Parts: sequence; structure tokens; C-alpha cells
Amino acid sequence: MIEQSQSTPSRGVSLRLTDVDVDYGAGNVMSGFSLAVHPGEFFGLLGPSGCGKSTTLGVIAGFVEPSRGKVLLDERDVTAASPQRRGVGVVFQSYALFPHMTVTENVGYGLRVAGKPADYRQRVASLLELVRLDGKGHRLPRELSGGEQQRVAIARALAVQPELLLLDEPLSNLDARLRADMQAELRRIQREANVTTIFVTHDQEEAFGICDRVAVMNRGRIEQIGNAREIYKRPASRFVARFVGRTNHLTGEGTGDRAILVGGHRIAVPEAVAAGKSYDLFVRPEEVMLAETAGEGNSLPAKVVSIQEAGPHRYYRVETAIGVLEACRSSKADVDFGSDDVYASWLPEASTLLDAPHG
Amino acid sequence: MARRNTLARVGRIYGVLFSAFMLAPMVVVLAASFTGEGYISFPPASLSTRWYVEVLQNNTFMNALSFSLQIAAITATASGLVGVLSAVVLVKPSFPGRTFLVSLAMMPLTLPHIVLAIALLQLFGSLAIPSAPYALLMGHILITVPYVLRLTMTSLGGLDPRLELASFTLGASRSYTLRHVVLPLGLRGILAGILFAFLLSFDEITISLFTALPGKMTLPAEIFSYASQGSDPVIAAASGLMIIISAVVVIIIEWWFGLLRLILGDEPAKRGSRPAGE
Amino acid sequence: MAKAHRTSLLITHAAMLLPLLVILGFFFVLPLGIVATTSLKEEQTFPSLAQYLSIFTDGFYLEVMVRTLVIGLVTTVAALLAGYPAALLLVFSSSRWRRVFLFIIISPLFVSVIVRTYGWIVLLGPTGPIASLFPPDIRPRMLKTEGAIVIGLMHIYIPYMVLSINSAMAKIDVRLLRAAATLRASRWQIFKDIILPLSAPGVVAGSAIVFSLSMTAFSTPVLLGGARNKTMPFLIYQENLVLGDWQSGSALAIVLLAITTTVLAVVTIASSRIVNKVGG
Repeated sequence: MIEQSQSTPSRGVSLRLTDVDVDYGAGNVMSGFSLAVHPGEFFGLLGPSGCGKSTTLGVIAGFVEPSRGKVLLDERDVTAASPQRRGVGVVFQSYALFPHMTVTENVGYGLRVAGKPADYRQRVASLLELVRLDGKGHRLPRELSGGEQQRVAIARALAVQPELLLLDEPLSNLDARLRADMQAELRRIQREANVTTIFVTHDQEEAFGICDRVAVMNRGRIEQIGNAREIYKRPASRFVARFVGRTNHLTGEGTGDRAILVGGHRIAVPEAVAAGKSYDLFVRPEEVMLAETAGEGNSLPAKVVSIQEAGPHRYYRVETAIGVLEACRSSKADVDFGSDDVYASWLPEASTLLDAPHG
Repeated sequence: MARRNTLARVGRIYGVLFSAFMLAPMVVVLAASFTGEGYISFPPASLSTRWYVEVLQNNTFMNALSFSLQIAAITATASGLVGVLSAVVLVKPSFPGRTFLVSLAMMPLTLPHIVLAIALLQLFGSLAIPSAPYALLMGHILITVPYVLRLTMTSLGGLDPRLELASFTLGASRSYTLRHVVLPLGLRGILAGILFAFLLSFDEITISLFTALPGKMTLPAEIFSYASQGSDPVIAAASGLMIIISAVVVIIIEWWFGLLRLILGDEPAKRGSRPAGE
Repeated sequence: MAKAHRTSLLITHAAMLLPLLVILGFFFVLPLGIVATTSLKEEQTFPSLAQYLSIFTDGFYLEVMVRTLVIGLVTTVAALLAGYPAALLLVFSSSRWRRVFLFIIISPLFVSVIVRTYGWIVLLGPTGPIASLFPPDIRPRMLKTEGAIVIGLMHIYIPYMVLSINSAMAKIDVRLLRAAATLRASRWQIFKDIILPLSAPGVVAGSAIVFSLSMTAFSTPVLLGGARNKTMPFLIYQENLVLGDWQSGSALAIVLLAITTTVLAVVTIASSRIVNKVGG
């Protein structure tokens, strides 16, 4: 493993997509799309299915040719280069292992394509060691578990020493426990192979659990780029706020100072707002306090409607004058609010205020 | 309850009768071919292999058999090449004109063989080129290419398209990918198609009869001309030989690919890599 | 770069398709064109419908044509009557027996038509197993009859009928039958109201295939029917190869092709209607 990183010093490259348009004949699926990924970064593309993340991956790998714009690897223009010449490794969602080849043959495929090198055996062996599959080289893909197949796919992609590694929903075919293990494993392999990695997923926990930075995508556009904390704490758009994590969404009209009117009730917000303008206000459930007495900041009389147990947390749905709010408490807190009258409160600074989109 | 049993019994009896009807001609030919007598009788009065010895020593039949095998081998090779080459292209859903070309390629299947035979004879006649054995070969290739094409297309169409993309990202060219990934994975269907083409050509009678020259006929054509003059046990033995050769090819196809799948054209299970159930 | 790549790919693909296109164009489309052209010649006159006129006015030609149509029809009906219960049996038998039964139905397809025909010559022959059931003096003459042609053709083409009906039946959702049974439908009602209408497309398609194959068969009618019971393929053979009258032979071939093509076309349209009707 140490040899591996010595023989391949830093192979991490930067990636830039500038102003990319893609159309499949029937309208643009992507227009004016730009993205910059730093060298050596573990970068996530997160979004619901159909958001364009697979198309983005296709553009980067060379499967999809943009009708406009550029794809740059370390400022080298590869927009027109075929997938063969990009130096981009891909781990596919279902792994796409060659079913008629053994693990060794799969991993060594890229090496054989270029003409079998003298150190073929050692290189395949060290790759198998990197993904902890030593001793399973003679097996066929169908004889391996899902997690093992995935590691073969990673080793196969790394064999040709790609400058950039694309992981397309690599964890979606694994069960929950294995998924957690593989997250750590992916990080370790990425560090050891030292390759810029783009991780495509629809699962926010995966994305935030592994990636240095994440781009949240929707309808062929990037809504926000940032690390897990930034995106969670300061969502940049209504879509991000609602897609990432659970949130309470309030809409109201500006009053001219630091408050909006929601259904006739004054709700304090973190910044001054224009009078008469529409605003979205988002409050994370864990920011909503429940108490028998009125709390600091915004505080509304509430009635517990239902309780949802979620392992370490417990979600309360409470009825208030401005609608149903969700509050999250630790399961350790042994307070049982039952159906008593309570107060739901939150600090204005803990909420996120956005201009409401038009229409 | 009683009615249900009656129905089941009627069904069973019909199944047995129908099966007997389907197999009768072959059974009778095989039984008659092992007669020890000098005339056709069923059941044979005595058993012997003398008529097989006779056929194997008969120059006419042996020349015809070797000619048939040659024609079938050339047909299978040519159909295999043409069918696989075009299937590789036509299997791509995005290929322009794909539907039209596939249905054009399938059209010889709906053309009566007798019409195809005289059409080919007239073509060679108007070109003033000797038709034998080219008219025969072209006829056989035309009627077998559709099968190779279809079986190859189903085999390749069932592959996960990401296997090709994976190969590309590992630096493999289109032709390297074709040779090392696509064709090996489609091999079963391709070989089944080629074997079937061999058998179809070997069994074919109408085009063979029309385009053959006296003294240079295929085995089915030779059996036809003998049979039209009377029924001699030597024809039964020659027919028995054909059944045996067909059976060998059929067994290979069954073992290698599955006869039912070949005829019924079931979609082969997707053979792309899949995560093992955990 | 990308454009050049795509152009070279297109050229490669065209080259790979070339053999197929050459074969289809030069040995399929062109020869058929030649036959059509020849059929429109009368001595040196072109175009002329004389060949077709003489086919449709000559009593002998008409007799052969009618015989061919009748044999095709009777064979089709016989194959349908015998094949439908077999298809039904296939659907309702256990999976092990279904495999065996299917194998028995399919395997004759791999044996040469000439061998199967020869089998019927033996079976129906004067010393064959069927004749030997009768006392020597009242043995019926079975070979060289139209009946022999029908039996032989039916045996050869019935697998297509069974497979075609079976594939239509296999598409029937088992839940429909169960639903009908829970609604207290009798077996006969289930058959009449569900299985029969839903298997109709298979019946139509199978009948079309059997009809056109048995109308165009050459060796089986010749061997089992003899020279007295000529069918159109025999006539085509005679005109072209024995008499060397390619013009009239071509016209006969075109007429035969027109009949089968029309049947196939009508059936394709009709069965898509049936499917729509049943499906909608």
C-alpha cells in the first residue's frame, strides 16, 4: 500500500466544467452549468433522481458530449476527448464488472489494454491489497458479495491510475450496515490512492458523511456548494433547505423591520426585511424548543399532535397558530409532553430567511 | 372433483396421442431403417444394420452427404460472419434506420423458398454465371442470416450497456471492447445461431432441389429423388443418417444454449454483473 | 476531433453492415425484381399481363390453384383443431411435463422436411403400419391422395400453430383465471370468456403461418400427392425447370407470393386489431 502511494505521487487533478450545455435532442437537460473541484478533493454531487447528476457524470467521463462549454482537467481541455483518453476512472452503480473475467482479470483489464506491463502481477496484487481483497483474485464476480464486488470495481478503476475517479451511487446496492463500513473504506482508499474523487449520490447522509464538499443539484443546476455544515446550517435556496435534512417551512410577508407576518402572526427573523415582500423562513426541528413555559425568541402556544420515534431522536408534531411545527428532542430527555399544552420556541438567529421565489 | 379428474385424464390421453403423432414419422423411419428385409415394413420382420452399411458404401449418398456438410459449413460460417457483424451495429438502439434494416433482413423468412429458388436461378441465368453451387449457397445464407442476426441481437441486447462504458474508461478501444467484452458475453447466443444455421442448411430441401445439378446434390435432394421413385430401405437408412446428424446438432444446441430458448426466443437473462444478494 | 471520431465510427458501422446489405440487395431484392419483370413479359412484349391472363383463364391452372388453396385451408383448419388442445395442454400442465411436451412438439422442426415426409410415405404406404390394420383385400389407398398431402403438411407445420397459440395463452394473466374462478365461473365459462378470446391473436397468427407454408410447400405435396394432385409449387417447378417457360413460371410464382403476402398482411392488421380490442 505504501509502495502504491510512492509509485503514484500526487495524481489528484482539478476539474472544471465551464458553461456546459447538454441537450439530448428534446430540449436542454443542462444549460450554463459550471463546477470547480479542487485537486485531491472528495467531492459530492447530491440530488434527487433526474436532477442531472448522472448527466454531469456522463459529461465528465466523456459518455455525453456537451453542445457548448468546456471540460477541463488541470486546465487541459478534454471536452472532445473520448472516454478512453480522459484518464477518468468510473465505478458504476451496479459495478459493471465483466462477468466472464475473474477478479484479477477484471482489475488487470485496463493494464492489459495498454499492453501487459512487466509488473502486471505485482500491480494487480497491490491493488487487491489496497481494497482488501487479497486471496480472492481467482473468483468470478458472481461469487462475491455486493461489498466485495464494489471493491473490485474500485480497484479496476484505480488500476489505470486515473487522475479523477467518479463514483456513481456506489453504495446504493449495499445493505445499511455495509454501507456505513464502506463509507470509511472509500475515504481510506481515496486518501491512499490520492485521487480527486467525485461521488454521485441521492443520499444526503452518504454525501455529507464522506465528502469534503458537496454540490446540491436540482433540475440540471447547482443550488449550493459547500461542506456539510454550511449546507445544513445555511441552505442557499428553498430546494436545498427542504431537500437536506428535515425542516419547518414558513412563508410570510415582510414587515419592514426584523420580522415577518405568518398568517397574521409576527415572527422575528435574523435580518431586516422589506415591507410587503414574500419570504421563506426555515427552522430546523432541533432548533424548536418545547417547554411548559414561553421561551426566548419566537414562542408560540402549541399542542402536541403526534410523536415519532427515530432511534436517538424523537420528533414531536405540534399544532400552533401558524400551523403544524416539528420539534426534535433527544430520546434521552425523559420528558413526556403527552398532549399537554406547551410552548414551541426558537431563536431568530437559528432560522434561515430566504426571498421567496417568484410565482 | 370427478369432473376435474375426467378432464385431467382426457388431457393426458390427448397429450400421449398428440406426442405419438408428432414423433411417429421419425420413429417409423428409424425402425424401418433397421430392417433386415429387402423391403420396407413396419414393424420390421427382422433387425439388422445392413442398410446403414449399404448407405455408407453407396457413392451417391456419400457424395451427397459430404456435399451437404460442406454447404452447411460454408452457410453457417458466412451467415455467422454477416449476422454477427450486422447485429453488433444494429443492436445499438440509436442506430439510424435500425428498425427498417432489421425488418428487411427478416423478410427472407416470409418468402416462400420455392419463389426464392426460382428468383436466384433467374438472377444467375440473367448474369450468365453458372448457378451451381452459388445459387444454393446464397439461398441458404439468405434464409439463415435472420436467425443468426436475431439470436446475436438478443444476446448482445441483454448485456448491461455500462459494461462497454466501463471498458472505454479503462482505455479500451471500441474494437478491443467488442473482442474482449461484448462478443465473449454474447458467445452462447452467437454459437447457437451459427449451429442452427448449419442445421437449417443441412436440412433444407426446396432450394437444394431447384438449384442442384444432377450428380451434385445435397443429401435431402438425393433422398427426394430416390423417394419419388419408390420406397427402398436404403432411403430409410439415409433418412436415419439425417436424423442422427440432426440429433447430434440438436443435443449440442440444447446443452450449450437450450433448444426451447432458441425456438421460443426468450430473452436471455441479463448477464451483466449484478450485486450478489446479501 | 469529436466530429472526425463520429464520422469514422459511422464509416466503420456502414462497412460492418455492407455484407448484409449486399446480400439482401443483390440476392433478395434484385432477383425478386427479375422474377416480377419476367412475369410481365410475353415473348418480346413488355410490359404485358398476358401471363397472368392465361393463368386466370386456363381451366387447368385454375384447378391447380383451387386445389392448392383448398389444401392450404384444410391443413390450416386441421392443424388448428389438433393444435389448440395441445396448446391448452401445454399451458395447464406442470412445468416438468410442459418441458417434455414442448420438446416433443419442437424437436421435429429440427429434422429435415424430406425425412418427415418420407416417414409419412412409410406410414401411409401399402405395406405400412396403418394399412396392415386392414385385411389385405380391403386396404385403402392412402398415398398419392390429397388426404396424404394434408396429413403430411399438417404434421410438418403444426408446431408453428401450437407455439403461436401457446405464446398468446402464456400471456394471459393467471390472476384473471383465479379471479374468474372466485366469481364462480365454470371451467367452460372461463374457457369461453377468457382463454378463447385472449388466445385469438395466437390462433390467427398461427393459422396464417400454417396456411402460407402449406400453400408454398413443394416436396411434401409432390411425394405424398403424386403427379395427379398437382399444387402450385409443383406447377412452378414444371413451368420453370421442366418446360423452361420462365415467363409463365414467374407469373405463377408472383401469384403464389401475392396470395401468401396478402394473407400475412391481412392477418397482421387483423391481429393487431384483435389485440387492441382485447387489450382495450
